[in-house]
Amino acid sequence: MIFKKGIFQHFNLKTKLLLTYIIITIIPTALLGYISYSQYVDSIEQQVGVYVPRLLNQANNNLEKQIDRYYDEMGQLYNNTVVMNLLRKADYQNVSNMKQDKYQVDNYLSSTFMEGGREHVIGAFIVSKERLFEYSRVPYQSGFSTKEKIGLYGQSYNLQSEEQIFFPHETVIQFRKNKPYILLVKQIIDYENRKNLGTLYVAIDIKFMEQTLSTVDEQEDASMWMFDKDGYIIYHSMSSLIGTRDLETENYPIENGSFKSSSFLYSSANSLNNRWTFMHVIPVSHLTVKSDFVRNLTIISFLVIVVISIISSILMAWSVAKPIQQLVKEMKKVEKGNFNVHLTDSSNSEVGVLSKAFTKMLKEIKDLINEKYNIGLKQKEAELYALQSQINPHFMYNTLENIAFMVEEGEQESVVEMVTNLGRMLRYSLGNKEQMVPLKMELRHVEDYLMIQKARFEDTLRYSVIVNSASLEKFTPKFILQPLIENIFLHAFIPGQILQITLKVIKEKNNIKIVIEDNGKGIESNKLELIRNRLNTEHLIHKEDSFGLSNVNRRLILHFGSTYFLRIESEKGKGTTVTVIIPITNKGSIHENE
Amino acid sequence: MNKSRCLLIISVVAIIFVLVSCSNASQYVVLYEAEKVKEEQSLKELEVKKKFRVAFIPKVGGISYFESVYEGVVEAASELEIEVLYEAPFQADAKLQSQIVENMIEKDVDAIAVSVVDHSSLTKVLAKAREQGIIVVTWDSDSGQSVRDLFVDMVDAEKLGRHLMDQLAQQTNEVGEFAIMTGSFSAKNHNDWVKWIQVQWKQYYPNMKLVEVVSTNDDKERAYNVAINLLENYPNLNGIISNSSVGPPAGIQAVKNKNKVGQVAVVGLSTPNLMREHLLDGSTQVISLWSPKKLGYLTIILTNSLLENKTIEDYAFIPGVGVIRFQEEEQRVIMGESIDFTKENVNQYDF
Repeated sequence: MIFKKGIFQHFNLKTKLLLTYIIITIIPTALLGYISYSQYVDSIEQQVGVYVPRLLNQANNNLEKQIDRYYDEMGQLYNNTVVMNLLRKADYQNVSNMKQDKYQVDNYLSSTFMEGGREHVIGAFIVSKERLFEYSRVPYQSGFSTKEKIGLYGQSYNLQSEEQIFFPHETVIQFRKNKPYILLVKQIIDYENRKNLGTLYVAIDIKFMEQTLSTVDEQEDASMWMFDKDGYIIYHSMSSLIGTRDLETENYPIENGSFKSSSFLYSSANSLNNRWTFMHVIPVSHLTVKSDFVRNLTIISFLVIVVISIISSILMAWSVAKPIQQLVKEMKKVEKGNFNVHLTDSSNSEVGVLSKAFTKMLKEIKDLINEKYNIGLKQKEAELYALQSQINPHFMYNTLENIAFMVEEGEQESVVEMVTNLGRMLRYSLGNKEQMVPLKMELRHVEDYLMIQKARFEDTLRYSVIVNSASLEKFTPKFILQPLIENIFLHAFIPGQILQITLKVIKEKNNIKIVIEDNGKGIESNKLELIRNRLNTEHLIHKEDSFGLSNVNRRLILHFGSTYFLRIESEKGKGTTVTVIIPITNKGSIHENE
Repeated sequence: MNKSRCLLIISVVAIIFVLVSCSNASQYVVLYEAEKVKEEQSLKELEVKKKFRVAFIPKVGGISYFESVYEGVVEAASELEIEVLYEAPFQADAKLQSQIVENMIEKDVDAIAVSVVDHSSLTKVLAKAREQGIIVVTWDSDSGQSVRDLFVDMVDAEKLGRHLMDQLAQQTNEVGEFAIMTGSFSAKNHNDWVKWIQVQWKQYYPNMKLVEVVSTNDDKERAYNVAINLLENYPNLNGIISNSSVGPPAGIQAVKNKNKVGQVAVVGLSTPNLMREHLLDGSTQVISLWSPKKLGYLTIILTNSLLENKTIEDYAFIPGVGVIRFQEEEQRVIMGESIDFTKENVNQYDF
């Protein structure tokens, strides 16, 4: 079976299912059908096998009773004192006396056995003391008795019991036309004198059995016969076989009961008293004629079941295997990178649930990919804008004009200082390979910027930078602060009023808080609301007024998550406060763009 | 490829089926067998069969009645292959018979069949025999019922007694004096018959007179003397009934010797052999008896039945005997009817 299992494992699911269905439906059905049919036939045979021997036994008993009645009649001889006297007489007498005796006994035999309803008696004989008394309906011939065979002449045959039956082959008596008969023999015993007076023989035509046996022989196909221990057929339902031998008798396994060969059912019953076996044979096919309908029905229904089960198992196998195959096909597509897969199975079956789960997973993967892709895109975009916004061309122009003016004025020292500042700023901008920089570098950049603006605006600008030195080495995203300061110059100036800018760096427990205050125009409350909303909701960065704010805001959120948004407080006419919060991190552990 | 493998598996299964269904295809298959047990039992019985030893004891030896009985015994014993130990008392004496029974018990026989001389005196020894597991059968004359297993009676005592009385009355024209010569006053069968003779006499024959009942003691000479005495003591005597086999011949002989043939009728129980001469010469008309051979034969047959634990049934047909009666309360078998022997038929019987 290992070989089977090995093969079985290599079948695909559909074949396995198909095989399994066939095995669990067709084989049991076939077995069931086969067993029930054969059991049915067996039980019929069993019933007949029990029933027929009983019938045969009854027939045997009836025959024995009939024979006993004949024996009873033979026993009446004892009551006939005349005949008994004659039989007791000494054997030798004169001729006339002997003839007289013979006349009397012959008359007795004819009147007792030949009259009335005893039509089956074909002959009656008494052999006594070398005398033969006889009466016979049918002419007969008889030889002398021998040790093996009984006859009407010669020495008396040694009977095994007082009454005994002989069959024709055990006698030397033959009636005309070989009429079949049985010979009832009774010893005439003088009970009083304890002597054997002679023997009474009555030959009975075998036809006497026919009436009794006709009660058994109802079926046309059946045949019946009766044989003795030598297989000699005493009686046969085909009368031509009477007197022949049944050569099979030695092979019959039992004498009382039933047995069967391949096509016949034999039943037999033994008559111990009369030394015969009564055999009844019927073709098995005859018994099962009625059951053939059942057999055909079984076969037809078996075929129907086979067809139905094959169809249904194909359907079943298909309905299970098909969605799985579909799923596998779709999965292969996904494997090749096509995420636009559409799974139709939305049923609640296992495969349907699997399909749904797979679809959901695909969707999540797709979303994840999209998200990551978009984040990367936005960051790049933001960085691009950041780059673009590093050095405003207006600022460059103004600064250069300022320098030119200072050169004209001969303010050598200031020029040098300004050019230095500008140079440092440009260098900071160019070295933008790193996303995160120490805070001190960012602060230096802002201070350079403020110093250049101070040189331009002279007394109308005041600024101060307050830093906790412990924070200087902490990291911050590049170009966070400059856009915010630049924003102040763009929007906060009130002509004729000194602009005060304060930049404070405060170290908190986990964060660094950078506060940028000005005392400029401030923002109207409804506009402030609008700006805050825009910072919260907009994902894309538009190059508008609040570009600097939103750019910084986006980058903070991208870097540190949504809680690190830009906080803006303002009051119209009093100024604005922008707060940036950065988590204190070591450079390495910060989420970085790759 | 899959298909061919399916086919392979299916065909393998099919072949297995075919093989299984063909494997028990011997020539004949027995479906049902009846009465097997019966045959086996009869076989066992044959194995168990052993040779029984039966003691057979008559009342007395040397008289032809019991000798005939013994012929029947021998016939049955040879048929059944039974060993018979036959021993007879030289006279009908209870002590002698009791001694013989004792001897037989010591010989460890399987059964004792005895014709009891004295109804009561054998009780003790027969009880002893039964205690030792010996089957006790009485025949001809019974003991008490408690000390034997079976009594084989020849005829019904009432029928026989009444019949003997009728026979005598017929001969004497139902008038005159008569005497009864009984075998003994101790044997139960003799007493029963005497009783029924008297019942019949009192019932039907008022003109007849019973003068005396005397005992012959089953002894020929004593019987003759008793008969002579009767003839001398009662000169008007018309008839004698004798119920033991030695009685009638002795009676007839006495009548002949006293020249009283035709004046004194003698009836009773005796054997044809003893009476043939007297019947043929017309000195007596009729004598009754059963076949003592048959009695002996039947006794052995029934003793064997008891030894083999077979039951005896009323109206049973015994081969070689005929139909017997059986009275279960008394455990008594009656063999049949008595036979009347006359001049015409006496030659047919040889006992």
